[in-house]
Amino acid sequence: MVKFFIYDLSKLGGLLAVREELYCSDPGIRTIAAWVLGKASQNNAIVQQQILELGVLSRLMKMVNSNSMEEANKALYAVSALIRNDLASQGLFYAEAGGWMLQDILSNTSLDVRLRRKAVRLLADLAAYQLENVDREEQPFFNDQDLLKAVVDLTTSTDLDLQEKALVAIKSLLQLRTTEARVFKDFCALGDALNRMRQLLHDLMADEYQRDYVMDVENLRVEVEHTFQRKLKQS
Amino acid sequence: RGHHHAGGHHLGLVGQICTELIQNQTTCTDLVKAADPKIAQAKTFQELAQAVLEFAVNKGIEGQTFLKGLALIEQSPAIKECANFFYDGVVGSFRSALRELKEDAQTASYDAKAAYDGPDGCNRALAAENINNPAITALNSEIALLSQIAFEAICKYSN
Repeated sequence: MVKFFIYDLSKLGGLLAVREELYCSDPGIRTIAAWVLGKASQNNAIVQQQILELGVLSRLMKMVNSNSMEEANKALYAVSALIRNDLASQGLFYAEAGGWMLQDILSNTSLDVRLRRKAVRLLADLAAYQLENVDREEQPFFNDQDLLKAVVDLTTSTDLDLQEKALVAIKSLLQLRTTEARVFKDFCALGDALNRMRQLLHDLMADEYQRDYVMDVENLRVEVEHTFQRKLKQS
Repeated sequence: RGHHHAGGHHLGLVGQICTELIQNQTTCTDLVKAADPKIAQAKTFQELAQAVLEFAVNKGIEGQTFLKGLALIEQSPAIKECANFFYDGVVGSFRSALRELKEDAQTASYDAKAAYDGPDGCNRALAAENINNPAITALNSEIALLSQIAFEAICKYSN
């Protein structure tokens, strides 16, 4: 049903109608519209381009700042789907201060954990995409010390999923050409953060129900530590 | 045509997804028949998504182990990149999707889709080095298909 509906959107000029709903005064309507656009973008690369051409990215990014957590979550989901693996839209995302948006979400511990997970996941994807396109000039915000510290600080979260996503992002960020080992070491205190995390994970392994999960995260933490050490030696 | 239809019914909900994957219908059906029986036996799309992702995580780990072994033998930056960078992404994305299924199906669908990037990137890296390895190609195809199946299953029940 959803797929049929999404398929019909473009043919019937429905994408235009959904775009207008992003400006509705009712946050519930805006939330549904964001969800529809995100879902459509994920399903079909051609539709992704069509939606981008509607100029909705900027509006969706503003909606990420909504006081309605559902609206913010759906909007960030749509933004992530819209710019995924797309060079031009990522450029637009950066131009619209997307880096600041992510930093703001990641550093705000009072925000919904789902939103923060989405934000760090998006950052990890952007960094990974950069690693796959090494000839492309790296965005300065990847080496912004406040952003990097916000990501490193996520390792102190009580949410294991958020911790894991932070490690994935850190691992990619460490491998970028323009990020500096000195910033990770001195400003972010990454070494200390990883050591604290090791102890925390060791304690969590006592819980048999999540032991496998904890071990997965610990393995990832070790990989990050190795990547960090290599970065330090190269500097 | 009737045969495919009958096969779809026999495979339950996943058969419905296989029939929708027009270009990979037969491959999908064959994969499911050889996979964990829980996939074909799933009664709901959420149950199906979980079964597929559990299977996909294991396949990703097995595939990565195979690639890492191959990287030790072959002097190929592309195979090394497949084993480490791209299949780290595969396993991480499938694991993440599996963990998010109950709490945040939307993000789970995003992660399930993102797993596709691994085999896609691996194929591009191999092509850049003119490497033709049928075993890696088959692995990449299987992982890509599992990503599609999981994504479709999640989309059918998430909102």
